[in-house]
Amino acid sequence: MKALYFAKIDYIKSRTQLYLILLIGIIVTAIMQMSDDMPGQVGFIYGVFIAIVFATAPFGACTRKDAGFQELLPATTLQRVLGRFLFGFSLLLFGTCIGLVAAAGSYLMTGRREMVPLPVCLITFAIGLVIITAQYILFYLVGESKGGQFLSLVRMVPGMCFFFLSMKLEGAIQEDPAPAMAVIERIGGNLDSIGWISTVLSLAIMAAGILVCTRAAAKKDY
Amino acid sequence: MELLEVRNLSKYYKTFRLEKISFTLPKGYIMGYVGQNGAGKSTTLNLITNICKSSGGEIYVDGRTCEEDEIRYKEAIGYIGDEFYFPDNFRVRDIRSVLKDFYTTFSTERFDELTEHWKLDRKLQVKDFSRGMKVKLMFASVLARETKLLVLDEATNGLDPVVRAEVLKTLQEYIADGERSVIFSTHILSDLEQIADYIYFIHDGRTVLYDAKDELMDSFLLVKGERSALFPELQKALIGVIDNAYGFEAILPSEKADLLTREFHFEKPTIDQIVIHYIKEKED
Repeated sequence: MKALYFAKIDYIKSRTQLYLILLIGIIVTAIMQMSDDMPGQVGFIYGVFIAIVFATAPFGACTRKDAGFQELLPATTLQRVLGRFLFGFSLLLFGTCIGLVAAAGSYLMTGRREMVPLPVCLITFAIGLVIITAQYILFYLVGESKGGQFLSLVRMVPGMCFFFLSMKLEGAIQEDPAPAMAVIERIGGNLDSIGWISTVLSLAIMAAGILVCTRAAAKKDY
Repeated sequence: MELLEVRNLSKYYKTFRLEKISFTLPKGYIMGYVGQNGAGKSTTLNLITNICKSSGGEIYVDGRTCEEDEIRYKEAIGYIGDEFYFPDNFRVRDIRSVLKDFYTTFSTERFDELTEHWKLDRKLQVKDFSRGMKVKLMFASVLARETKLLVLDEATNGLDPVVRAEVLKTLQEYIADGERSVIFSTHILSDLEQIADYIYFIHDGRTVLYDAKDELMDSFLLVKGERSALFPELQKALIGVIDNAYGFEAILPSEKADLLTREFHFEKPTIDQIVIHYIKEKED
């Protein structure tokens, strides 16, 4: 329960960024309605990208003093870390939902494009979760309020890489679907299973990340 | 019954070492924790609140260590720092909501009563609060729940005299039931003279003095006189001799008062004077 309360603190701290996410979601949906050649996946990629970037917002709001404030609250280190991961996880879910709503809106209203396939959703979500976990581990290991330049890179670079690589892949598949089809054929059409396996794997990575971060946080001074 | 017990507490940083600090604070008393900037006051208090992890030693609050029961240990402590620790974009209502989630003994009625009494704007983000309002908000957040030990780290710094007097009154009311205690670090030693029962003086990470305030003040004399009147035995016994326009000033352990001759004036020193002369002695 206390982990949920820590996630709540992170939501209050990141209030402004959350309004921004909603705004970006609306803009992406609007752009998708207007554009004929934009695939449904783009909105979804946007949603996950935004979640990756903003999932680290509570660390950004952490000066030494308010990191200390959370440390003063009566809870265990595991609950503190779990709360932060819950925030990241829920934000990723939120970003995913925004992407899906954008794609579904476009699908229902224009009927011009296909809905985002389930395996694509699952794999993208899993990649997002692994990236967020890696970011959190780096933040906890380096220190929430130390190494400003490095942490800005940790905050921005993985999200940017995810976005541009996903868009490039999307473009390549649109241009020539043959290699992608060949891959699907090679795995025997078990794309759904791969989607689910990657999701489970990403959850396991997150669980391991929580343990690593808890160990790092338990030794840390504020 | 001891409320706070610190045993051989140490903390090692690259450039600073806090060495084997030990003291006890009984229920119903206030301890003044004094020293220069960088002496180790905040480090000690941060170790007590477990914001920092110790390199050695033990801390017991109300009979338990943080390792034994982190949640109950932290529930027993109320901390007010020199830095305002609530996130800048929080409002009073956010703090109320968060504290209600975490502390079973948190009373929203008492919190509302205190914030109304101190006229703390509920709609304003706390970053827009004045220093005085921030200190009052930290006090409201601590006094609205049941704590055993109040840890104040230079909390009265930068406050105007009216607010400072109010804070000191609050501290005296806090310990009035004889069940709670306060450890209080400050540079304003006149505050300590008003309210402290014990004084712990730390310098360069090591203990210099630790005693009940009245006994500490009784155990020294402030000696003034002409430099030329000093003789070797007295000079050896004096602590922190400071020259001034009228001669010299130093402190002398009371048990050596028989060394004083008519050429010297002596009086009871203030805590401030004891600290200044001890620091001078350490620097020499």
